[in-house]
Amino acid sequence: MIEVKSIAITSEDTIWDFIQINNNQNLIYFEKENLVNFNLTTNSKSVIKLNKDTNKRTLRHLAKSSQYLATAGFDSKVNIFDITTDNFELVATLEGHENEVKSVEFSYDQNFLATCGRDKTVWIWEILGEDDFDCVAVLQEHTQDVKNLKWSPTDNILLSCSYDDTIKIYKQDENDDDWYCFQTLSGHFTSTVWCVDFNFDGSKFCAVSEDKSLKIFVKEGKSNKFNLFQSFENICSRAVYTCCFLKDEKRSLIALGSGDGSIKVLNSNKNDGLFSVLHNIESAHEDSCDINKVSFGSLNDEDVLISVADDNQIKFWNLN
Amino acid sequence: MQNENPVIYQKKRSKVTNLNEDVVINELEEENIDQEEIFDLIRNINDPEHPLTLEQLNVTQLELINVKGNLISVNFVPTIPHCSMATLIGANIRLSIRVCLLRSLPKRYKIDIHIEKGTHQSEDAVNRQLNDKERVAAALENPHLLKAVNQCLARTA
Repeated sequence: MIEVKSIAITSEDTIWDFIQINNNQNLIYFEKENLVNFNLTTNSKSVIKLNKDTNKRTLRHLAKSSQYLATAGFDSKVNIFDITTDNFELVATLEGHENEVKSVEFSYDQNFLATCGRDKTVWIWEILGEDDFDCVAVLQEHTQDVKNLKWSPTDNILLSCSYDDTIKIYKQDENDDDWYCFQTLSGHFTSTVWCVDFNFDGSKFCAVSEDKSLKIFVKEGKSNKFNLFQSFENICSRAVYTCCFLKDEKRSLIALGSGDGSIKVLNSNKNDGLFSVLHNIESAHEDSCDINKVSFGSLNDEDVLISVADDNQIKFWNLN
Repeated sequence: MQNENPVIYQKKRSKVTNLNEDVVINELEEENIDQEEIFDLIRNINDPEHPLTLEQLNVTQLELINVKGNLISVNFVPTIPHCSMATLIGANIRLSIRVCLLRSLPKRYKIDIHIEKGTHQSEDAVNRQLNDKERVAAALENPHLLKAVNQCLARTA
């Protein structure tokens, strides 16, 4: 893998996240109390001002739908911006979490938004149109800080992972539409599960942990429950903070980033589907600093892996 | 006050006399640091309850610091073995050691801080919270906690 582009962010704060929007033409990230909309073709940027009381706190996570951009903040708020407007108008602020919101995600059908945080809860909001977000469930299944969320890309199944070392899986009851936890994956990790991500059709997902491991789970046909498929203990020498699955039917790739400074990409073998390490970049960013986020994306219509680390650089890696 | 009559220990002689901040920073950038330099950074952190340093209370000890390349491990001994991890006092000491090292060292150093084995009732829970970078980042955005940490660090270089 070759580094093909990098963006240096001027900030004294940790940069935790970024997201591509507008058919991957633009990259959104947080810089010095503002959101920045960076045009990847012209390399120019515009600043999206945030309201005063939110901008003093970390923005931990970003998510998008075709219409909205959502931010999860340590100020306990979720802000929703309309990205179809010129200035990314702030259309809603969702309040309810007691303290830091750690993750926010839109469901594949864009009818729901899920949020989670330090208060151990997962909230599900129904998007009713006219910028109206209505809380329909507060799920109190975890016993600790909930770190990350991910929806299946093919149905309304939601994953959450936590400081309590478990992963919970939720869906909607077919009879009364109530959301409930239908599976808990415990005993697989010995510390915080930092991040989870589904593959292209929701039949597999990967999870990474403070315990330095990567685990891959697969859906069993009839029960729809997930079982451990493959396990990589000590795949890194320190905590693994971030992982992502390439959303591609033809290629099964997983990327991860660690506190040891490495980025690894794994691919699966055609016969048995088992994964093995394809690329390993030690010290991917300056001075082996922590990798906070990796995500598959595109740059000039080429598939890339994008990463951000404690050196406040966003780097683009050619996958071919 | 949780620990009214702390045992006070003799201070060790500092390795570097006439400690000059600029000199220290230059040294850190150019060559790998050793355990004594780490100790010099954290020995003068103040205890939140007493006009005493963590060295004087034996919370930080040279022997409990380990440096291997860019990996730094610092163990410490809590002043009392049962202080709840929810109390601000204990949290301040732990956070102060981490913040002191984060501010003083280049980012290439990976810092692990642990309670010395067998010195506290809820070691594992405290160790985990202390090494969760997201929780540390959130704690430092709490103005009360940040002020308390800065007071603990007032006498360090």
